[in-house]
Amino acid sequence: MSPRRSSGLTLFWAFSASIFAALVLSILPPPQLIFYFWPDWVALVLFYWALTTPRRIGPWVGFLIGTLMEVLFVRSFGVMGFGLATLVFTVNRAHLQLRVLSVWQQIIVVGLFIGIFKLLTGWLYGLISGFTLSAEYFYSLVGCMVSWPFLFILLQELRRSVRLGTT
Amino acid sequence: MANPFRRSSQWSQFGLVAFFCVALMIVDGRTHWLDTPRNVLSIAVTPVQMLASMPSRVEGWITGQLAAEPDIKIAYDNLRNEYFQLKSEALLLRALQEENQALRALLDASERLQEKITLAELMNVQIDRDNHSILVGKGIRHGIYGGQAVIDDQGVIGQVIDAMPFNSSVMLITDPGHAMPVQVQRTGLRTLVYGTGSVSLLRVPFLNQNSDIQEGDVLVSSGIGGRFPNGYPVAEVTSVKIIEDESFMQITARPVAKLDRSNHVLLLAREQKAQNTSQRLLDALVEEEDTQ
Repeated sequence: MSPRRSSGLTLFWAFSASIFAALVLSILPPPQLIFYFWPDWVALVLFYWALTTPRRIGPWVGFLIGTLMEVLFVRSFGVMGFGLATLVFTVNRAHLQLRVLSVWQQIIVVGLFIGIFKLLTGWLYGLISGFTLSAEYFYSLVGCMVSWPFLFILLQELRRSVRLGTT
Repeated sequence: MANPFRRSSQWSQFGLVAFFCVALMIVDGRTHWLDTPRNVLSIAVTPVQMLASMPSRVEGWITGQLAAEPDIKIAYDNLRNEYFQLKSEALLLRALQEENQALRALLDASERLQEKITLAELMNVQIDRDNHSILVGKGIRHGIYGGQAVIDDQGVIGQVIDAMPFNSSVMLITDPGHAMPVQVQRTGLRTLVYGTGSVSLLRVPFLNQNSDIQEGDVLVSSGIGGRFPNGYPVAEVTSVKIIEDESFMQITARPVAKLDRSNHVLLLAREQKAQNTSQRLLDALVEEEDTQ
């Protein structure tokens, strides 16, 4: 096996490509049947990168991606950035504990952490623009939890194919 | 790793981000300073939008390629019939317009404002309970500005709330935060129509028990407020309920426009220059053909 090349550039490209795909998926109009269950792709992908490369993907990266999402969805600035920064931060803090868990156990943590992220952003949108939290708002957590194992394997595969180590 | 990583600095880093975010929220909520950065960034996310609208485009292309020739022939005949019918109506319209202008001049009323029409393609529909908006493919570069009324071939869709360089965001009339002045076509009664958050439901909350309104009445834009030009159909009243001891009636209406289903929308801009409406619509269509 060739030596692992954990260069910043490779990580940058792999990360950007996956985030780009997540952004496209998140604005794709989902089918009516799973409309409410469409996962928060960006949060999921960020969760993965914050878990596997905690030294590189920190709160500032989360904030940056959140700001891009706010531009994409034409929402007020700052909220999504704060939510994603918090998500990345909590995952960074807990990454050693989370890595020990199997993918199936991680599902629960994903639901919990992304739930906190959604609660936080929903609450802040409520403060800013009169958004009210509803049960449907949290249905997407189910989608997140269901798609986590697949996403995890997929991104793990991506990381292996570009020979990216754990940083 | 060469990158120094100290646990103690994590909290301070996060604190800095949080502080920055709160500052952003306040600045963006109170001022318009961040509109320009947003526009610049919106160019950066254009590839994402392009890619996301790809499936529907590919689908449209494939159905276009697969359509059988007889079908095209029939569609062509229908369109031609429709074209001649519209053309004759447009001729009549021109005569009526002149007559109307002469009558208005007699009455000393101000001339009806002319609207400049821009045809735009629908790029993205974003409908959730609290936010009904669509993204259309024309922006500041094409002369779009915030506040323009948006219609389709059936009626009013909404208004432009955010114009970005290459596309703009349109708030639908069903958005829970949207209200617009309307008039009952049958009686001329003026009122407001509110969005509810459901795509097929509007609310008319402020009509007295003794108002003359009934099921099936068509609500048209009244032009009051100056944002929506008057006379465009908005909604059809679906139910009128009188509740005892309530001062207002409970009225619901259904929008007549295909809010989230039309592929093309028209953006109306105010302009003083008098020109025939149908002619301008044709111009806009021809222009669209040229650009494609």
